[in-house]
Amino acid sequence: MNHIDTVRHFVVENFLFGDGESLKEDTSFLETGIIDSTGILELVMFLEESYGVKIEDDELIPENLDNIRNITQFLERKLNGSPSLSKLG
Amino acid sequence: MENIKNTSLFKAIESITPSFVKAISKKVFWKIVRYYHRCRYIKKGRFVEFGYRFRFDRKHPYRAYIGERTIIEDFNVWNTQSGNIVVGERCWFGLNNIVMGPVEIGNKVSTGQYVMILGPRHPVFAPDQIKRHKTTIGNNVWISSGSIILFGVTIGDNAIISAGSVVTKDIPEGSFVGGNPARNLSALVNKTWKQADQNIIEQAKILEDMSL
Repeated sequence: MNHIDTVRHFVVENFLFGDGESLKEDTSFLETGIIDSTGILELVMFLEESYGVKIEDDELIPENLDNIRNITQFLERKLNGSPSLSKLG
Repeated sequence: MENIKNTSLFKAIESITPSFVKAISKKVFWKIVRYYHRCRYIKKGRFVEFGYRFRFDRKHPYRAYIGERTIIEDFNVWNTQSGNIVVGERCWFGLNNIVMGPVEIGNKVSTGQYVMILGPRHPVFAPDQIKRHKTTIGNNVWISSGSIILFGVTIGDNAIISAGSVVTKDIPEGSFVGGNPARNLSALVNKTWKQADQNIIEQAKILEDMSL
């Protein structure tokens, strides 16, 4: 299972209660209200535990965590060790 | 000096007094002492209200200072055994808060239920080696229920702390934090709020069009 399926499965199971038909790859979690502030923390905990990455406070921005595509790109960047987007630039 | 307990008068009174009277008088005595402490060692402005069972512990040089129109709800515990508590005007402390000095709180701070604002470290060092930390909270901060603010933290103005978060680091102005340990979520939450505002504006436009 690749990153997209894992993240999608987690979001659908935890926030949409199994009804994931309307969830596309670029559906914004924050604009549609799928995930709120406590949900973001759950998502970050899930990413940190399942992939073993450490997500800093500066990386909690919409460009990294807003939709499934952003999350997978962010994860790949993290796992490859290349510098990621952050608030500081 | 002769011990007062050996005098015949004391023995006579003690033998006559039933035990429940002793227990009740002890309770009443400590109630009066606590009330005296509250009146004597809290300097408060006008219109300050205390709820039911406000508990105030203190030690010699330290006091609590409360600004005007601050409301403190029921079951609060305020402890100034290791530093002053300074509270600004128009604050609201929810049910069952614990505030331990040294703490400095600004104006218009409101807290939810079961919030703990801690000033001192646990005394693992010798008392003279402890470096006193001071918790500082800015103006207009909203601390949601169940969150814990650890010693030595500085919280900026207009910050929001979401429910159940444990604040271990300093928080900049106007940010939204949450989680254990508290993380800065303001960039993500701002996007949600902007979208919510946009939705409201669009709905208003639709309603205007309908009425026209």
